[in-house]
Amino acid sequence: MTGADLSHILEGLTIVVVDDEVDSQEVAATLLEMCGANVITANDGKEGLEVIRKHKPVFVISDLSMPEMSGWEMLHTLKKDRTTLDIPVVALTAHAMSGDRERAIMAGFHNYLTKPLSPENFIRDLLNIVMDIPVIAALVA
Amino acid sequence: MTYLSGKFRNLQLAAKFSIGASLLVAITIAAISLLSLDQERQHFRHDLEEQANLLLLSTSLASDTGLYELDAFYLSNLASEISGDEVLNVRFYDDTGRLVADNTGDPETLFIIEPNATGIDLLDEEEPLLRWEDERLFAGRNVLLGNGVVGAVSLELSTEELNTQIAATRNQAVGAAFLAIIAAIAVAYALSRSITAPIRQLAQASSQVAEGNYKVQYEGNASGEVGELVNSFNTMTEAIRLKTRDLQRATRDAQEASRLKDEFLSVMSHELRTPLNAMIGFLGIVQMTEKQMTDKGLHRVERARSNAERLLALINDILDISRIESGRMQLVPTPVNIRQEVAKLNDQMAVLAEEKGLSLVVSVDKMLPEMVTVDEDAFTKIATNLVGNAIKFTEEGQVTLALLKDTNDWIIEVKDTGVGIPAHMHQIIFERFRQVDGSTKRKYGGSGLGLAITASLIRAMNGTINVTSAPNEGATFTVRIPIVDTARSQALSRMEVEVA
Repeated sequence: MTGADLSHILEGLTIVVVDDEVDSQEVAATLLEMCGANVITANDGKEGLEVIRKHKPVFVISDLSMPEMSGWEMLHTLKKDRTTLDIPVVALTAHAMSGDRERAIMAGFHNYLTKPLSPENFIRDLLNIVMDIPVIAALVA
Repeated sequence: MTYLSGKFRNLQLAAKFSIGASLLVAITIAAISLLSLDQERQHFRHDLEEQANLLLLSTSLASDTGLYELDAFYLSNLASEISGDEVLNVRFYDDTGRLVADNTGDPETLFIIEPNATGIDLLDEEEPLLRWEDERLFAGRNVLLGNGVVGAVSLELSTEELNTQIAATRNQAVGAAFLAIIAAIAVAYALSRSITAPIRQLAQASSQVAEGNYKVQYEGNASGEVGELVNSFNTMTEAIRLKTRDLQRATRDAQEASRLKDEFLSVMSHELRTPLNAMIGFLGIVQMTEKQMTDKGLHRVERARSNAERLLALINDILDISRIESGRMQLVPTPVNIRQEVAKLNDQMAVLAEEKGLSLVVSVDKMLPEMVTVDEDAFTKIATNLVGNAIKFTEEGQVTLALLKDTNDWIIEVKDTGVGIPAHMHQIIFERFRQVDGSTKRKYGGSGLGLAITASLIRAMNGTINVTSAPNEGATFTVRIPIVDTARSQALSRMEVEVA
């Protein structure tokens, strides 16, 4: 798969990116938008909750450690609400936090992606782990 | 004997002292008693002999006329008078040696006409003849009247009295010796206790010190050599206590400094990485999107990105090593599909090998189970570092990665056909920021942290790493990691996750 093949693969899908580092957030958002996604960004868990409730995205990509509200807390809140319970959240874990990944899966994150994001492989890696979400599976097929 | 001496060696000091001292006392007293007893005996015998002489003399004076006249009746009476408890027999002989009378008063003796051998002998004895026999002292001499021998007299004195006296003396000596030995044991025991008691207390105090209680001071009374020992013991524990306190302080300070350093490093690395991640991300986006850019422009973006990536790798290495060395890197062993991991690794590394025209050969021992319990990140890092190094330092030929199984270990073996490592560098390359020399650093690049991280990770897994190599003959790195019981470690890691 090359970048060209993927250019429309996320066409029309709403995806929320939650990250307190704006540049990192923008890189992810840009890469997703390059594939046609409709990306909504949030700077911490609190903002994330608001936009997720409002836009009901196909899935969420969220950093774990953030001020105000962490990714963990945000996920916890989402899982308590019936309207957001089924929205998959992909954790974005830093290289430094090696134990975080197993813990993220245990906590109920859909899967995880490792920082730093590789611009070339990000979309492919992401697709690999969200393929089991029915909407995405239908799109790729 | 050996058995006894062995037993003796095992006795306590006080018992040894007591036994030794009482043995000495007993031997001494026994020797003295024997000597004095013998002297006493001599003394008593001499007394008895004196007594016998005197009695003999007086008897001869009293009997001279009687013997001259052969007045048996008179002599017989005289003999009876003299004899008693102490004088058992008194006999008179005439000038031919015939027995004339004795103290039994038996008239038959008077008619013994045969000369008596003893009597004859005694006729010649002007000086008294003394002879010790069983239970008695025989004494005899001739009897003179004027210048002529008129007969002889013999006496037998009982030694019973003498024996009684000797026995009494001996009993006294034995009693005294017994008392002395008891006194010796008591004194020796008390004395040795006064020596061993402080030693015993010191020993107890020492064992407390050995257990880490340096506040122990010996407070009992002791003087002399033991006192010196006590003093130096107290000085020693005090010194140890002070040293330990200083060391503890120094350790605490060092730990605090190390913690601050780690904290600083981790904060710094995070702060450094964040903008680098963004840089790499945006540069990648530029590469992917700016189609109208010139080749020169794309090349410059590529250079900027690869430098940013190198910097990121270096920062990651520094962070890794500081985390490993501060013990804050928690390895989380989980069952890992090792063949899948190796295949992934092959995909990544084969590209690098191909770029240099090398072949990468990967193999996994059939004996190795499908799932191996290991920290996935650590395994990947170790294998990537070793294979990456092998590719970096090899100009032609091949790099081999083999996973093998031994009885208790599994083995990661990375072999190359590269420049090799001189023997004196085999240890040093595992230290931080070390490469074979400065020029290789310039030529091959890299932070020099890869092997240090690899070695630290392997240590954290209780494994070992070894290298065999010679210059220009390639190098083989062999990592041995103990095989972990999968079921048990799974339970452990689950627990850890739940706790977290």
